[in-house]
Amino acid sequence: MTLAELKESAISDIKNAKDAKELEAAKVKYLGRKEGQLTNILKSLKNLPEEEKRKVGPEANALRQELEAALDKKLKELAKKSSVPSIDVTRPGVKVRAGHLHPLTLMENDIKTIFAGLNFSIVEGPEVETEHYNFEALNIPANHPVKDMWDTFWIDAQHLLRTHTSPMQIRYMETHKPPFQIIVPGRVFRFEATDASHEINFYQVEGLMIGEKVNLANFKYIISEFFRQLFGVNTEIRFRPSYFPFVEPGLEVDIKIQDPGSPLHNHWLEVMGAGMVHPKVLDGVKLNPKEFQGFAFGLGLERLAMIKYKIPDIRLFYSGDLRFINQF
Amino acid sequence: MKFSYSLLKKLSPKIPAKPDFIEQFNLHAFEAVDGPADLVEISIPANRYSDAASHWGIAKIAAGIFSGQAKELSKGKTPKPQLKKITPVIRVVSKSHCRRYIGQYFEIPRVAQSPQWLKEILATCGLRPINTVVDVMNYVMLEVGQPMHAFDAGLVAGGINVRLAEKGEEIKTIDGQEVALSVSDLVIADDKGPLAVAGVKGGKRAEINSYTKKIIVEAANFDPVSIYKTSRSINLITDASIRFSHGLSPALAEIAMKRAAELLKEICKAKAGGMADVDFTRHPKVVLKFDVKEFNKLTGLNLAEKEALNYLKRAGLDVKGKMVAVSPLRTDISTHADLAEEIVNLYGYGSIPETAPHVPLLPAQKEDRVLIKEKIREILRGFGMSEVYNYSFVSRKDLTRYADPKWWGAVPLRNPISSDFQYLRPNLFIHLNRNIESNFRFYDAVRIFEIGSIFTEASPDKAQDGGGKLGERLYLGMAIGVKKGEPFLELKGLADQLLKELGLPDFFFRDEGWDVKYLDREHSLRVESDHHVLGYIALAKEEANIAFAQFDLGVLLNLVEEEKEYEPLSKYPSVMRDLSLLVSKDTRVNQLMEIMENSAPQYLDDVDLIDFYEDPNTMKGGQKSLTFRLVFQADDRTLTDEEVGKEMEKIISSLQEKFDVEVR
Repeated sequence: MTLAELKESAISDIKNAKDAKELEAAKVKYLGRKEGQLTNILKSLKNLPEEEKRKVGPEANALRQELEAALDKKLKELAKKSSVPSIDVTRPGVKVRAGHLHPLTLMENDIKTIFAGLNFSIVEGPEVETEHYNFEALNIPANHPVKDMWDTFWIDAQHLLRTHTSPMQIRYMETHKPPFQIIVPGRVFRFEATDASHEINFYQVEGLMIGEKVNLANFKYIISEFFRQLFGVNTEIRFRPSYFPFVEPGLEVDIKIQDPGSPLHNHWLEVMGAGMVHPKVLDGVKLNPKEFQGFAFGLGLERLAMIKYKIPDIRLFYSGDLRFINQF
Repeated sequence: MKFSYSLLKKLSPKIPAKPDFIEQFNLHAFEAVDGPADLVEISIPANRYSDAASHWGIAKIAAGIFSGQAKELSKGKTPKPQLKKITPVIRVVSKSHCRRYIGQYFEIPRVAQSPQWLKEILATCGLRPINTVVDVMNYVMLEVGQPMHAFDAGLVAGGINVRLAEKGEEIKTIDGQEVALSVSDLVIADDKGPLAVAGVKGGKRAEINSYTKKIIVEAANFDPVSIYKTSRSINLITDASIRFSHGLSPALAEIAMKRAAELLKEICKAKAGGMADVDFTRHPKVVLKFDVKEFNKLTGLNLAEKEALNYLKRAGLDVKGKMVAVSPLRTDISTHADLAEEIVNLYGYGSIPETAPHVPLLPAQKEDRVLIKEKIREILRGFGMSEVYNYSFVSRKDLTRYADPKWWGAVPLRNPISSDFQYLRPNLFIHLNRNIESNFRFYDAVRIFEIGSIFTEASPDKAQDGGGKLGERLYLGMAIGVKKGEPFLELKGLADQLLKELGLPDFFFRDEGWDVKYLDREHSLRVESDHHVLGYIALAKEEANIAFAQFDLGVLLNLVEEEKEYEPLSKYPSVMRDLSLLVSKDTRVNQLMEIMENSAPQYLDDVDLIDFYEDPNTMKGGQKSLTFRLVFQADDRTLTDEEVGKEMEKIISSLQEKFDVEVR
């Protein structure tokens, strides 16, 4: 057998070895100390004539090195294979225990993120309020039907559960000097029968921006930007006149969302009340209306969450049902 | 409020077809919704009842929007009184309650049925046609906005007195209800007694009937607060009372009487008698100076003065130069901002540009309580907890299941919506506990939390958790319920890690069998830090499979430290030793750990319980087996076996001193 034939046969044996045992057999067959075929050739070198020895010697040695390297490589390959246990990769992955935030938290977070991006600070206020902050300071007169817009839970003669987040307009303006812009998320309460769109407690986000020349066109910019970021750039936004005692002019904001999968697709939806802060309100907190002006707005968190997540009934939010919450 | 489109169209001929009218009216005035046939429903803002709660008022606004001209209601001529000598005698006793009272005498040939066109308009607006006289009264209210009333003059004894009711006075109303009056209710009375509850409802006694030939027509103006209170106290809310409570202009009474006289002549063939007008109002003219600069500053528009003034004219205001005279009916206009609104409404919000504000760039911030809530939510979500929102209300029944409402310090509502929502929640426990129970229908293990305000009253007995003044505190509640197994230690570990991640530097769990009525006394820990009570971790009372924890976030906020500081890594290896002990069953692990820590303070770096075994069948006499892992460390060298051995001896002998401990 020539060296070339030997090489071919040995490489093929090494390559085809299925496990460590077969590989060992191949090693013995060619490089075994006693009867290895290559070993024999190397052993027989000394009996060859000088000229041939010089020719065959290096070739045989090179082949030995080559075979040793091939054996080594193959051995590592086989070792790797045997250390990986057999897994059915189509089995489901190990379950991670995932917690879920309430959809109203997610909605609130989205809103806070957008307004933080517009440089609004985020503050909160008390849920138990006085008649003064909830009504009088907001230019809502006592014993007037306008107050019926806010059906109230009373605790005693002076204290009530706030019917809106607007009292924080007053509290904030009393303690801060403009310019500023804030949003106030928080729970509010209404004394009214519950149904699919009314709850006795729910969340609002109040907004207030006051400066020397914060105007209606600025309001339009901020609010349009907000709704486009929240519901997508194709959202249509409409402003129309309305009345709230603490703003003048007062207006309401409607949006039309583009979401063919939603039952609300392409309908005008009332989502926000707003206006320029009433001069009487500014006067009441000792801000000169000639010097400062600005806008305020209020939106319902549940309403936006219901639009965004296609939730049909407001009462689901307060059900504590994890089949609902764990979808978010 | 219901409106007849055809009447509006008659009064303001330029208004477009109904759908277009409604759309434009929404964008430039008030919310309007299409109704069946002739009906349009329009929401009248609370400050516009004086000028706009009428077909005439809406027609004038529409004329401004659609660049038309609203028709004058009357032909300008009051029918001449034919019975000059007969004038009603009106005496207004309570001037503060009645600012104006106009009464006029009429004679009619007979009471009959109204013409069809009148009946149709009444029906569209939700009023039932009754007879010519009453229908004219109602029609004038719909057209002008002033509630009217007619008495049968033959049934009125003596003159008409406008006065407060006397003690014990009663009245039978037109619809047959007996109403007991109080001394703060205003009545229209004759010599015999009340004829009507002023501004609310007419009485039966002088009601128009089929024999009526002589009438007294009333157009009056009453104090809104008085009418509001009366209609609520006698629980009679009528078209008239709603209008009066919103506040009407006294000028409206005059316009309405003129119109009534005209229509009574036309429809009832009435002969007019004399008119008495008792008027206490002064009519100071409201004149505002329009400032286009201020307008543009408020709106961000750039209108020329002429253009802006032109919008005010279209809005029906009397503009001379820059001076704007406000009609007495427009009780809503008193400031410059009110004028701005008139212009903006007609100009249209849709045409206002969106302009980014130019303001100084000041940093936006989040309040600490906003930040800590966000942080807690993210941490707990990472721990596999789901967030719930519950009502702020609880029932008495839910409270008394554990303790008297007084113990809770629970605050009752004056006007609860139902007994299920009678108290403000004094705690997050009750709802979280119920959430777990109800979710057990679908889940074997429930892990939930809630962040919300709780409310408690001042209480002399501060033994209750938290105690304190009437007030509102922000709480975190967490609960873990498992159908099989034991949830307490999971929740404890979770709470421990949460407090660490929030940056609470030093806290401990005090184990003293706390008497908190809704918690299991034997399995309750109080969490304390820096001499403050943060909250509790415990098993729910009578429910060994529900663990509950709550923290007062107000207290927590004051104690957390944001700063994290690097501590050098030790250059020398630590030495670990395990210590297995057999102790009696009721020995508390924290007591053992405390002794270990105290008896080798220098080198003992950490103690942890790594194995726990308790088996009543194989262990002798109520014992349990505990294995602790102790880690020893010196800052300046590697401790030798000998040194660690000495420390171990100290620890073991301290343990044996205090407890019956067997080292295994």
